[in-house]
Amino acid sequence: MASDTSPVPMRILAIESSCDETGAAVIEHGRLIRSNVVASQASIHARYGGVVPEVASRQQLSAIAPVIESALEEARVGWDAIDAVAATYGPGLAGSLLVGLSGAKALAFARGLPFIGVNHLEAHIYANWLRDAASPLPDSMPVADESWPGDPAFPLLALVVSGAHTELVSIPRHGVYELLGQTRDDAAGEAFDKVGRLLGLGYPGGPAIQRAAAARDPSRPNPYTLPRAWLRGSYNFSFSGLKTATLELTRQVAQAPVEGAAINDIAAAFQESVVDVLATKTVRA
Amino acid sequence: MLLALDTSASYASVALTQDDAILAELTWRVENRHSSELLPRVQETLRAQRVTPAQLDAIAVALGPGSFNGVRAGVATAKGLALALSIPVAGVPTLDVMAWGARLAPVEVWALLDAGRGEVYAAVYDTAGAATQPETWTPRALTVQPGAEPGGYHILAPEALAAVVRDGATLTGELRPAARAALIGALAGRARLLEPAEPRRGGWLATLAQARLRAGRGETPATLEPIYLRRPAITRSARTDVAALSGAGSAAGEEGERLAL
Ligand SMILES: [Zn+2]
Repeated sequence: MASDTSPVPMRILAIESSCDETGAAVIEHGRLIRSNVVASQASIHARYGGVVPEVASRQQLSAIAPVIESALEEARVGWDAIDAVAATYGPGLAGSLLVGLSGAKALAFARGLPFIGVNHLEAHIYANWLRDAASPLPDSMPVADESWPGDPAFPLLALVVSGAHTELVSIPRHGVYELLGQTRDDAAGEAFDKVGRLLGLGYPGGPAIQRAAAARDPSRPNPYTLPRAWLRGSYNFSFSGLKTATLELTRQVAQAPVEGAAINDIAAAFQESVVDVLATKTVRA
Repeated sequence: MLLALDTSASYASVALTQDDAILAELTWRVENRHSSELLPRVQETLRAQRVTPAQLDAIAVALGPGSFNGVRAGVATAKGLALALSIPVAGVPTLDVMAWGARLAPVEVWALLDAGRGEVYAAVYDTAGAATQPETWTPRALTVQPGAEPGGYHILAPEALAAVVRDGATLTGELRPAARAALIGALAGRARLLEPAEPRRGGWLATLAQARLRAGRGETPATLEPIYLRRPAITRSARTDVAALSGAGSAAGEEGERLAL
């Protein structure tokens, strides 16, 4: 806990509903996580092999109220302790976004609180400033300061990788972004989903491929390598060629009886190719 | 005081009522801008009556069927208001609200909304005697397909709808020109179709919601569910959302709605 002399914490109720997860959190001082509740729909979309927008939007509306209530409960605060309401305004799925956005704006209006709309990518980047409220703050913590010890130091480079994003962003100071590169086709997460489906590993593809890759015997050299799209001279990414190469390799391998080991090898080769390109480009930038 | 919200179709309406009196009502052509226009209109309506949100005792909301995103914008806003103010919320099917406005018509009244794919959402209400009480205002159960369970709310092609409409009935609602023309043709003058701009609904929604609240049928934000009637279309997510860090945050979605703050 911060000392008694520290200022009264500014508490924000933050709501995110841009895709297939409904999230609500109570955040103090702009970075201390007092509660963070997420309702995931992954198991619902698994049977379709990807996010179905209308299904996601309907689930958002069912989840939004209980998720917000749980976030307040877990933070042990009532409405009177909330100073502002924030929500993702985009980019994302329109039907999903509008649930969190409409709900958050209504909450702010009803309580007479400021409403803060937040860009989804900016939120991904600023997640790096968040801290677990469970780890106690030293008494001397300068909570009112913009910069805390241990914060990421400017100038910064951010690689945003998720189901919908693959972007390399330069951040010279707070709130200033320069897009260095982005994907020309699929987002990395999308490529993982598609390859996960192709290999019969299920959805979401990221964790499924990671599990399969981790299951292979690391002492045995991987018989497969997959190409890397370097797009030389730029910080852009491309994953569609890799996806096609993975499909072809899987077909070739399928001529012989396919066993689990081959699937795991391909999964590992795919993952290595994606990570290699992302990491190399980020380091170069 | 009760605040009623209806954003289920191309006309939207908000109303503020006290007991059974309408203090203010605002109906406008919203098209598909439900999520960006609803709260500013609510604010306007309350301000004009010098009412603060804290003075509200209950929220009423039209549950659909109708525009999926329109219904979601209304229901999400209602949930947010009810949650923040710790007040009950009452949901009323949109077709009930529309038909209530024509309850004095003879024979029967049909409430209709465009359901896309050349079909309409439809429900029929008896307009004789005791049925025209807000407490008992529900659609007549109807079997529209052989072997199907009788139900109140249906998705029908204009021709199938015309086949079950009684002579002298009144039809009200919002239909696209093609569905409207098909229906008029199929009815062949047997029933009356009211003008599309006729729905004035916030006050009717408030009346029906008030009856539910009095009967102890108010809900909590967690239990309130909309009425879609249609199963979700299984489409792939069309994410068109890269490089928007400095942009205005437009979001492309199924209904092509632009989300604005
Ligand atoms: Zn994201």
